[in-house]
Amino acid sequence: MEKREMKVSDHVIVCGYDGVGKNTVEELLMIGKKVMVVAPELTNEEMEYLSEHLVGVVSGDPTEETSLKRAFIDSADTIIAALPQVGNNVFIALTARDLNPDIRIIARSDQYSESTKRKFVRTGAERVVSPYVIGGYILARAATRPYSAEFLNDALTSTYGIEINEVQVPEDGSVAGKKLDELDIKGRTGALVVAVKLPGDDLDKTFVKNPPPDTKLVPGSWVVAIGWPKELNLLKRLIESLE
Amino acid sequence: MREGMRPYVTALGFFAGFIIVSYIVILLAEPQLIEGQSVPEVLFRIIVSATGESVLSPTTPAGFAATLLVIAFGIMVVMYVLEQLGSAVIESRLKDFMSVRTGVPRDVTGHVVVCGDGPLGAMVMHEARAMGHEAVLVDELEDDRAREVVDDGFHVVVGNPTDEDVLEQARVDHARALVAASDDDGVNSFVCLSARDLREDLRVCAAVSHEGRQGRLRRAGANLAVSAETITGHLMAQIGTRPLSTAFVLELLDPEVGLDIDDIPVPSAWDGQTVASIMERTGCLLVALAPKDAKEIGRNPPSDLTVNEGDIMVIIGRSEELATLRSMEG
Repeated sequence: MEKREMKVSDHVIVCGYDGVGKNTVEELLMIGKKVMVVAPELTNEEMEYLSEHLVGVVSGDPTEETSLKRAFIDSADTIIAALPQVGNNVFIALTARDLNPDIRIIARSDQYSESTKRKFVRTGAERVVSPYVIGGYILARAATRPYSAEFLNDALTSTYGIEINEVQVPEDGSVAGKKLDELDIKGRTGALVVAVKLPGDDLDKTFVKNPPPDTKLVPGSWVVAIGWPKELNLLKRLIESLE
Repeated sequence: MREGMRPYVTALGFFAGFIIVSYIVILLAEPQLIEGQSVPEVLFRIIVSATGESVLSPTTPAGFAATLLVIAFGIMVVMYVLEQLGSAVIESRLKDFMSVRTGVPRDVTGHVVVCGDGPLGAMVMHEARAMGHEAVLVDELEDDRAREVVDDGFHVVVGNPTDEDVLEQARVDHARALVAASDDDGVNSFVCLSARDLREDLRVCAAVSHEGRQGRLRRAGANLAVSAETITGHLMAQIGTRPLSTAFVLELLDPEVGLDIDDIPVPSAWDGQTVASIMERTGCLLVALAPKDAKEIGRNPPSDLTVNEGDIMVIIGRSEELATLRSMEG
């Protein structure tokens, strides 16, 4: 049976439940998100499993407005269009934006080209993820740069433990205004800082990948780092510590 | 009968028909024209008539008519046969010209063999080329598709990639690595097994539908099995909670953006250096270290760890920085 709560909010709607959809749902549950699935033709077992673990399941066509409304799209935080058909995902993105102007839209695109990317940007999708591009990229490296591929594969699946995460520098934090080399983050926490996002909207200027040692952590910046969960916890504690 | 032989056989048939009919016509009209002559002489007279030259000397009205008939018929047959043969020759030339140059030239070595045509396989080939390696596609391709791939500058071997003979044609014995890129886990396992059978030391990688099935592919001989679905699901789920982290990774995964990741062997000059000093010196991110001859890689190695010549460093940096580091090898 279809499961519906009276009202759900701040949840993530996942449209489609094939391989990619399933992995997305599992990952979201692991992060601790409230998840709702909208998918056509779910099997009885899938229905049962999803009803048990999610806040809701809608068995219906996610490109239909009514299906999205039944998933409480007006109060949802994020919608992930994960159908295999690019056209359907574009359409879901458009519909979602219509029904909820503030929703975060993430889309899967099995077709990779600049023109598809542009179309998704126009729909207001924040990110477009293409399984074939990612798979092709990693497999090609797996063939020619074995260790790099293994590292990437570990960091991009949650099985191995190595992770990449981000922490924000608070206004009155003890690290605010300090430079990266002064802080010796790697020495003190073990985590490796791979990027710093300075305050501001222009990503090209404010998102500094592989930041130079004299990058200043102004209040409100974000620090992006690679490390083991323990190291990333230490990093969080260091960055968020107050005077 | 082979298709290509047909026009020639038809031409011969027409010629034989012409000779027989002409012989009968002459016999009926004025037998004296050929009476008492040897077979070669008769044949000569009839055949030459086909060129329009009369070597027959008729004396009766019926003989004149028969001779004209033989000449007219002969010219028609000759023209028809020439036309048939001509077009057959042109056709076969055209076929030669249009046929796909499949197979792998003998001088190709260190290439990447990609088994399975599809969006994933195509992406692997383009990426392999972007990293400076030749790529060979192996699959049961239609002519048009094979031509397209060859025109794109790749090599093609047409055949079933689970078949060892087909893999041998792809020069697996000289390849750098093989990637099983079909969307069917069963086919990929089979390809891995065949490849492993051919060469114990070959690097074999496979696509797998789900992370949970990695073990099976590894048992089939794959060094690494990659699930695009799992990674995509992971990334899409993380974008909401870790937008910057995923943005960083997606940039790394975007072939068009400058950041890249590579395996760099520690050059002799850096023997005994610490991880921290290498990062300072290169300005790049040293994210993992594989000690020489070790099976496992050390992810995010501590700052004070020392590296030895021959260890492999996994480094993230801009493409040009990595190129400089690569050139230090040896």
